[in-house]
Amino acid sequence: MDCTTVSSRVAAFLDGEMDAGECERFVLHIEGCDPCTRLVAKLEAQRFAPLSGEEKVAICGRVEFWGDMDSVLDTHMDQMVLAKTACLGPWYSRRIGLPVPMIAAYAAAMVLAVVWGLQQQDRAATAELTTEHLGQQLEQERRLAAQPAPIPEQGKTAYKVVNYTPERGTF
Amino acid sequence: MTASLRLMNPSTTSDWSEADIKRYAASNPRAGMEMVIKKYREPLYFHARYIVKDHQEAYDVVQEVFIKAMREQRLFNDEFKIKAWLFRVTSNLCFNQVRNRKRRGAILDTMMKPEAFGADQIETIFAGEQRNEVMAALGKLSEDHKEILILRYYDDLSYSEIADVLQVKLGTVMSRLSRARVRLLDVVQDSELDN
Repeated sequence: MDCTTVSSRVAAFLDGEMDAGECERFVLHIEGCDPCTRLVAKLEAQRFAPLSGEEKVAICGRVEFWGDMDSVLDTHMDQMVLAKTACLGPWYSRRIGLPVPMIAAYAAAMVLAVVWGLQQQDRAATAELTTEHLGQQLEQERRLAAQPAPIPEQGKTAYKVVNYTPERGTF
Repeated sequence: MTASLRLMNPSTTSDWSEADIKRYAASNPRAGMEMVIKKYREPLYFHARYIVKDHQEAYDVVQEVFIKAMREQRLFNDEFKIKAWLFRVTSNLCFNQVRNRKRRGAILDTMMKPEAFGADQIETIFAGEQRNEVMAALGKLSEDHKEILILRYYDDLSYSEIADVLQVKLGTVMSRLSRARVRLLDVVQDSELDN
């Protein structure tokens, strides 16, 4: 361990937060290094003077100390419980992080979107079938139009052959 | 606070673990929130008080922190660290408060002027001679150094808890804390030379 490492680990050493191996290396270094020994001694003498338990009780042990805060926080909690929002809402709202009406609206929108999508798919399929059918019809008609009209065989005609005589006028 | 919370024995608040609170909050979020408030309001008040050095400001900050906690969706999630989050938000709000105060030009360092609050019981308790000297020196440190020293030596948080609050690694806590103590030593020595 060198002096730089010692100066960056000295607080952990004094607070007893250093593991055994590192602590051993730390002690080994400061035993042979005067500046580091002096630094550790100076920091060991530092006193922070935090409030004692009794002093803390004397400050905020009185019931009325938290009175104002309690009433304000009570009102907030009531509002948030009623609104069923944030960490005071029901579990599903807390997990998903949204209020119930928003979740319901989102779910409804999703269902509507799926139904609309299915309907559109249905319509598209029907339209495709119709187009195909019409195409086939047109193709058939085109083929029929391209073929020459069949010549009926003699003696098997379904119509009567008459001679045209202009004097007789119309048929 | 509701009657149920008032009836709870205050000495038991430190016995509630975060897991207990979360388990309780699963069935009754409001009661869980009340447990959080009851357990942490005192340490948060003193944490804020050490930074802003004013009773009313510290009190208001703690109140704001709990209102923010109520709005925090993840508060009772299994992996959420309630204590670390509360201390982090408190620190941020306190340093914002101090910065705003400085910006407004109304620097009121109560720890450096204890006589102004001599009549007040709270201020009298805070105004011990040795406490004043160290707090005055802390006031000259950077926010990072000041925060980590307060978390460790005034709020009595462990190194791993500090790492959670500051969202840094344990090694960073060790080195930052060491640097902060060395810096504090320099500041105290400088002020002794000035006197």
